[in-house]
Amino acid sequence: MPQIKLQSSDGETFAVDVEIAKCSVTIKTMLEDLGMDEEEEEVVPLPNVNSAILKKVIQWATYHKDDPPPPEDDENKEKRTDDISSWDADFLKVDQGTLFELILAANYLDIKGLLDVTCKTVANMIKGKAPEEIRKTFNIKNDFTASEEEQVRKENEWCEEK
Amino acid sequence: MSSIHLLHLSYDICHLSPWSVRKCSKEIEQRFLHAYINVLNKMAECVVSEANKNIIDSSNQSSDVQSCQDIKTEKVMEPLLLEDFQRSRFPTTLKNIMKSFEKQGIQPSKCDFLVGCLYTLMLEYGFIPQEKESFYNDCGFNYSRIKDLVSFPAWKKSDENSYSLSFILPPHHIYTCKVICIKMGDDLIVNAIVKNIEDVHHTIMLDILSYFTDGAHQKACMDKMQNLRSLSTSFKNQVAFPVKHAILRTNGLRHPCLEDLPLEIIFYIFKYIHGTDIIKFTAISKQFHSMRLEVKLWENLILRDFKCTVKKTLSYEELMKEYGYIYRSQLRNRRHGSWKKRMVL
Repeated sequence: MPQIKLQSSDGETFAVDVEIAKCSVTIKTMLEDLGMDEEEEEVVPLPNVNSAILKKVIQWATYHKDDPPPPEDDENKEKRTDDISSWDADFLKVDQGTLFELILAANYLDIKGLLDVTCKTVANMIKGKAPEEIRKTFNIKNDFTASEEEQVRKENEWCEEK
Repeated sequence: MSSIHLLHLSYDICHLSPWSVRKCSKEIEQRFLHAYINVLNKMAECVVSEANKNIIDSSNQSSDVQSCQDIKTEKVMEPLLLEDFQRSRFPTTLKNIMKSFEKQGIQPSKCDFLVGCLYTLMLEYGFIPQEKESFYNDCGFNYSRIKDLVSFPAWKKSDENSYSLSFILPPHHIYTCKVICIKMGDDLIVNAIVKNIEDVHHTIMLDILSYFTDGAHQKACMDKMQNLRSLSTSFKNQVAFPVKHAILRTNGLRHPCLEDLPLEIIFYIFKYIHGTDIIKFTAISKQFHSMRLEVKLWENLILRDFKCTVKKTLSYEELMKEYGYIYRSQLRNRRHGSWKKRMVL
């Protein structure tokens, strides 16, 4: 199978099957528009993605290479987050820094499936939590003054109702 | 202009230009495309040299970018991070920790070896040992730098049961991060503090034996290790990430964290969250609170969660109240059996 080489921001190069690399719409468009000859050993530089993240993206894309294209989004429905496959759930048992880097990489490389599953994971970290718990989870500083916080608390009161 | 901008720019050009040359002869088109490929390759070199120029220590550095590329090719499945550890394939960093002990003539205890792993995890997060502070000026992930630094024994045992490690996150030299590890029985207590930033104190307790498959009295051995992935995740989440976050945010720098995600991605995440959770989420800080002011958000949420269309022009506060009103009446009606849809507000 023809391969291309992807180069990370820290200069590591990964040889990847063209078909797998093309799950990234960014790379696919780049290859098509450039008319890159698959025989030639071209190196595609990806200066926004470091080798640790690029390797994970390739792992994910390799596992999901035969997946059907993700269905069109229905904007008028709250989307499910409980349908993460066990492989993906295990793959995403990573630290927060890595999770956010994966989101940014999926966004930059335009890989919808990966963006969906990483965003679902973040959504699950937010769902059902009180503001203070969310702050703790994501190391966010509470920068409200006491009176502002009181006002926000009042605005929020009704959603505590069960 | 940074190479990232350059890439985007040239990518944009690449993206547009083939259309404009479609009408030309095949030959010109070919030449045109080749020129772009050259631009891209030039930039690849530029990125590599940018990554390399941070390393002033030239002993291991090859100035020849091409040869550097050849050596680094085709390592997709080679374990890269400590968390990629598998019994059959050890990450190079782990092997290097072992070698650095051998070089010093030390038979490492399990605790020594675990501290070596924590040292590696800090390197993976872009930290460097304080002794090397003048050699590097960026904190991006750089695999070859990590491999070099792992062999450098930058941590000392103060006595039988405690270790002291000092890091900086280049180029922020004034914020020294001290990681103190104290062995208490079979546990290792790890404390991290940052000089010149208040309130940064992070702690984690590790059960030393849970990372080894053999008993307490054997010497540490690489192939008797286990659970390195969970070690990596918990140490990074509880120590390395919050420390890095504090240093970068104090300096007003963006990095991959929730607060610095592009707005479009936060709204993308909102697709998976019910309105009531979005309200709680937007109460965590001023930055996220300001997302409430978006009228469109509430119109969309009312439509999405309750299938109601907003016809009037309302302020965000009125819309939020309206959302709350429908939510509460829906809850009440659910309790009393039926819920009639309000189609139009």
